[in-house]
Amino acid sequence: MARELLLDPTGDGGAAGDDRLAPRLRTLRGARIGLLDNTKPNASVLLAEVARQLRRDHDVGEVTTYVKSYFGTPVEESLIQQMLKNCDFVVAGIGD
Amino acid sequence: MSAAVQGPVGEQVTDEAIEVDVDIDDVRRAMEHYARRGWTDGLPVMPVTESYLTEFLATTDRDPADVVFRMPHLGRSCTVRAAAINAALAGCLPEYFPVVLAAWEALTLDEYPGKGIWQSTTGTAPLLIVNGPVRERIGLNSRGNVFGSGFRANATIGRAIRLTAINVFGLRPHELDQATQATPAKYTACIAENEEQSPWAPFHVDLGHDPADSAVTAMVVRSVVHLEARHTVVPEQLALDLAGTLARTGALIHETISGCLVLGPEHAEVFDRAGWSKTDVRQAVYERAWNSRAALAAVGKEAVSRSTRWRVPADHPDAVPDRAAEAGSDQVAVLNSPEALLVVVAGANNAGVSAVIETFGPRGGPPSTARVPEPATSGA
Repeated sequence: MARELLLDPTGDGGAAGDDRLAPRLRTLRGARIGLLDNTKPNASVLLAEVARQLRRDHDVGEVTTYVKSYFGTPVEESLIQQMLKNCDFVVAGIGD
Repeated sequence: MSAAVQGPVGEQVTDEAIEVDVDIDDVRRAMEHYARRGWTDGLPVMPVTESYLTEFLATTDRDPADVVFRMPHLGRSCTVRAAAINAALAGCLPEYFPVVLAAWEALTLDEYPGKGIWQSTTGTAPLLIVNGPVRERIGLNSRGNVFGSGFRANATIGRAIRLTAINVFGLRPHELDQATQATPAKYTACIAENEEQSPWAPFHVDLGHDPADSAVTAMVVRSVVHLEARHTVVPEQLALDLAGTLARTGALIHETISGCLVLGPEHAEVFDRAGWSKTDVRQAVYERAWNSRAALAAVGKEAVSRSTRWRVPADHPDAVPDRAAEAGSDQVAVLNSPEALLVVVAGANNAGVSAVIETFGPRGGPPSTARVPEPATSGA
């Protein structure tokens, strides 16, 4: 009776992307914030409150809001490049 | 050793196949191998080896490395080979595999599955509707218990999609699948149209396929809601009953919804006897499926949010008026057009029972459908 190996059904496996965390900021004082609005109801409300508290408690710098074109798909590369250029950190809010 | 043991559920088993002996430790070891790794939907799966896989790959001309479906947001894709392993794992017979491949083709045409809807809190599942000669060839049920259990082809073709979602795309509950509650259709959802007892042209013919062809049409569904109307032969009454089922406010996440009427043959006949075509049915239900502004306000869904057009109360910070309000109407249609409603015929011809499938999204565009290639003849 021929014996065979059982096959792995996961295909070629997951994305082998770089999933390391970005270096952490040492201080938020004066740091430029990006707010990434996923367009779901309440996302902008939640993010505005996060920004308000960061200003009040951490004296953060300029705040810029970015808006995804559709909440279910990845952020467009051009938007990522803008955030990389203009922000020291970004808060992504999921409204619902 | 008889091939009969692999036949569809209910097939006569030949005498020599009545007694089968196995090495139960080996069977259990194979089952547990898959279960322990989470390569299952919770039910046992069929062990798959390279020689068994070869039988699946032999049913298609496609290269095993061809991609059948992508999820760009996960950076993952599924090949013909991986789809075949999961079809075998689901319990499909090799001859079902062309239907599974057509299902992936149809699912690719739908805008939502590739954009993460299968991971959503909404908890949708893919539903497949099969038409054409392949139904008889592989034993797909289109009659009694069409949404129920008991038919290997229906059960395993739908399950092949689910196991692929779990294994290839990693859509495991509590992980990449964040459904709040989901639906029983997540185990499997594959029906065939009862073309033989439908008074109208088959569904796939409406979608542009040849009647002699087989096809799979894919949908993203949340609910299958049943409708009881055994009492009436008045088409307007039946249309209103269907419209009322479709118009429930609980289904409204978007500004409008979409649906598929799965009419039992008796209900299809009520319409046909009155001279109504499927287009007439769609139009009649569309016109009757609406909510008053007051009914929507009573559940806090009288406006829509600016970006997503999801229903919210008028005092929500993101609220803007819906299209009906912009047009000055307090009668708010639940469908954006008659085309947002599809009509198929399935089930037994034994009672006035139908189902309203709630499909995800406003819709109205062409349904996602793909032809199932005919089996290769010798030399093909």
